[in-house]
This record gives sequence, structure tokens and C-alpha cells, in this order.
Amino acid sequence: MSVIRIVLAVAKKDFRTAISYRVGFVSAVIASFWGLIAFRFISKLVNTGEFAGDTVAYFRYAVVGLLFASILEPVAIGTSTSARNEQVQGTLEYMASQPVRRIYLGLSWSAYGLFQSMVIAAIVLLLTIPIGFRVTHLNLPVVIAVIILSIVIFAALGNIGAALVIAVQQGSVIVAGALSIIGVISGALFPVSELPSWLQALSRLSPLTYALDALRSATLANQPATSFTEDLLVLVGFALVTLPVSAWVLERSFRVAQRRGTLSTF
Amino acid sequence: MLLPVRLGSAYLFEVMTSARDRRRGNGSAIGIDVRGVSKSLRGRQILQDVNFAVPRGTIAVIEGDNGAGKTTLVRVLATVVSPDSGTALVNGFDVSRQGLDVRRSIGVSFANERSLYWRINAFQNLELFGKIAGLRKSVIAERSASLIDELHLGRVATGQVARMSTGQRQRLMVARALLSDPKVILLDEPFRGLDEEGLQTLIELVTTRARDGKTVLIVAPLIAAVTSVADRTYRIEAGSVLPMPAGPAVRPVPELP
Repeated sequence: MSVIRIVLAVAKKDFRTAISYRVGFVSAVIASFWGLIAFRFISKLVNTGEFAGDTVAYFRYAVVGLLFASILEPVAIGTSTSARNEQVQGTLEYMASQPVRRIYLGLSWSAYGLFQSMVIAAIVLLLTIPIGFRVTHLNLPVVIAVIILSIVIFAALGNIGAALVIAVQQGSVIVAGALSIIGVISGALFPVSELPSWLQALSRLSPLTYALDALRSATLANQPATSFTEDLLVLVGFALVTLPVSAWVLERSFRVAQRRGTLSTF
Repeated sequence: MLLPVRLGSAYLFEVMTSARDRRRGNGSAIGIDVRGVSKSLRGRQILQDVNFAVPRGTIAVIEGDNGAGKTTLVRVLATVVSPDSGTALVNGFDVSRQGLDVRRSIGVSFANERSLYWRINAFQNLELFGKIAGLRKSVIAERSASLIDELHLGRVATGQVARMSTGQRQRLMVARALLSDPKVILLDEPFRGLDEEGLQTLIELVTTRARDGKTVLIVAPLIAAVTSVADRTYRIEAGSVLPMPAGPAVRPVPELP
């Protein structure tokens, strides 16, 4: 399929570009792991609600939330950042002249960031085992389904950010702001039940709420397979709506830029 | 009784042949057909009722001063700038309504050398754009090696593009434009930064492509060496394209309809 061919080709280019800067990958692993160590100590202080009686329960909860967010963040922000980089470097206009659908370009912009963040998350996950992290119950098919659906949804969000970059030269900041709100209301760092009721209502509009709920249940709790159905169906619904909408928005942004003659403007 | 069947068959044939033609181009003798194209950007009229045509298998040169509208014209034909009015057909496809088909038909070199990826090397740049164009790996390898050799880039092709000179990057951009063996070749100021040898190499390369039936459009400031091999020469002034006296044609030029 041409979309896979294009995504892999652009990811390979981004990989080659990334390794031409040698220290970036190691720094990212260290930073991510160091960030989690703090939560190992915070975990000792959290002895309430679902975390009562287990000094590493909150640490496990936070590891799943933060590592999952660290995978999705480059997918969403990476797309608009890559679009902006292409714009500033001067390659965006040439890419737009290539025989490829614009949505494929959008998806390709986040591919290497996703690949890198998944590798880093896997390494950091292994590093957290000696300090207390463990998967108590693993439902691998659900984990894979949640990850794939979430990537599709956040790639769509990234495409909308890229569309803003192409149309008005801004986007990454807006996506980053949206992600920080989504992260707070979706239970990345603490249970949604701790939020005020109006924010809890808002959290039901965030796909990350359902993704984290399913992911934690599929890794840290012994749940029957049927208990994931609602979360997975909601994620499928989000994916079916957001991807076509983002493809349309991205295509429109290119048309706006073509009309204004701003594809080479930054 | 048979009439509806015949009408149905005719309709089906029409639909099938038009779909085939959409993929291949319309089969006309014209590679580039621009009629009444105008474009204004940020309140300034850049192109004003532009009309010209380039038959297949010929080289057309449009020369003009800086700011005359040359680059905007190439951008319109490459579908990265849309015209305000008029129609532009490239390989029979309308740039406004059949952008993807146009982009499948063209190889383009913009004047901007930053359109290359500078942190990777020449072969890696060609590999990327070859894959985007849908070429097989073996075809990319073969054509890349051939183009790198033809354009005398072998010595620098495995180093980062950032370390190349402007003229070398210019040649690499032309190599990239030719990689997919496009039916229509659009070159915006391809001679910038080239020495005499590089200029001759490039002229030979595009002349060969035109002999093979490709349509070549070059926009550049006036360069005698280029206009001497052009089948049609135009001048762009204040956004309008005007025909210039013909240079010595290198082969018979098909008549325009």
C-alpha cells in the first residue's frame, strides 16, 4: 500500500537525519527514566483510595499513564512540529509537489517520532522493573488494540495541528496546549474520580480517558475480556470520526496555502 | 430493444476510456497548455492572462527578469500555487481539479536549494523521492547511479548535501526531477551556480529527454546557451508571457492546434 511505503520512506529519512545528531536518543532515554524516578518516591506518600496499603501501587499507575502519554505525545505534536520543520527548512513546498495524497504526508510526519518514542518507552519500562514496576495481569490483545486505536486518534489530532501550521504557520503550541488539558482530565497521573464533577464530565469527551482506563485494566488489574468492550468501542468511534475529519482539514489547509501562495512561506 | 443496450455499452466505453485517459494523460500533442491564467499574491498581480503551449517532445524556455513571475508560473504548473482564473493543463490534466494526476506526470526542480534534505546524502535524497514516486528499489538504485554519474556528482554523492556547493545541489535537484522519468519536466532556474561544464551537461540531459518525447519547460534569466537549444522561447514581463523570435530548433516542432 502506498501509504505504508510513503510513511516508511519518510520515517527512514527522519531516522537518518536523527542519527546525524548523535546524542539525542540517549538523552531522551535518560530524561524519560529520570522523570519516572521521582514518581517512585512520590508513590511512598500516596496511601489513599485505590493505592492504599501498597507503596508502589501509585508508581505503577503513573508509569502506565506517563509512558503511554510519552508514546502519544510525539504522534500528535510531532506531526505539527515536522510540518513546521519542513516549512522552515524549505522542503514543504517540494513535498507538496509530489505525487502523494496530503493525508499520507501528515501520517508520515509522525512516523519516526512514534517509532522512537515506542523504543524509548520500552527501554524505560525495562529500567523501571528493578525499582518496583511490574505488570500484574496482561491482556496483550487489548493492550495492542488500545495502542493502535490511540495512535490513529492522536495522529488525527496531529494532522489538524499540521493543517494549522500549513494554513497559518502556527500549530504545535495549540496542539501542546490541547494535550496538556487532555493529560490532566484523562487520568494520566491521577484517577479521574479525584476531579471535580464538571471536569469528570469533560473527561468523558477525551479519548485518552478510555485508552488509559482500558490499558490499566489490561496490565494492572485482573478484568474479564468483556469489561474492555465499552472502552474499545468508544475508541473505535473516535478513530472513525477523527481520521477522515483530519484528512479533510489537512487537504483544505493545503488548498488555502496554494491559493495564498504560502507553502514556501514561514 | 437493442438501443438501450447500445447506449449503455457506449456509456460504459466512454466511462472506461476516460478513466484510462485520466491515468495516462489525454493523449493530446500538448504537454503544457496554459490559457488565460492569472494570479495575484498579497494584493500584487503576479501573472496576467498568461497563454502559451509546449508540445510534447519539445523544450520551451521562458526567460525574464527577477520578479517577473517565472517562479510563480512553475509553481502553478506544479500545483503548489493555484491560479485565480484560467486553465493550465499539464500532460492533459487540469492543475486546479486533477492535482494528483498532474503531480504524477511531472518532475520539478524549484529554484530553492533548501528543498533538499541537507542532513542526508544525495543517494538518500533520491531514494526518498523515488519511493514517494512509487518506484521499485532496484529502479531507484539504477536511475540514481545513472543520474549521479551523468551529472558528475559521484565524488560528493555519499556526503551530506550540506557539504555540497550550490552548483552541486542544483544538479542534484535536477537529478531528483528526472528520477521518476516524468512526462513533463519543469525546471526553475536550473543553471544557477553552474559552471560552463555543468551548464553543458544539463543542456545535454534535457535535450536527450526532449528527444525521448518528454516536455521540458525551463524558466531562467536569459542565457544564450539555453535559448539556442529551445524549440520555443518566451519572455515573461510583468506577469505576461510573450513569444520571442524562434531560435534554431533542434528538431521539427509539432504544430499547435
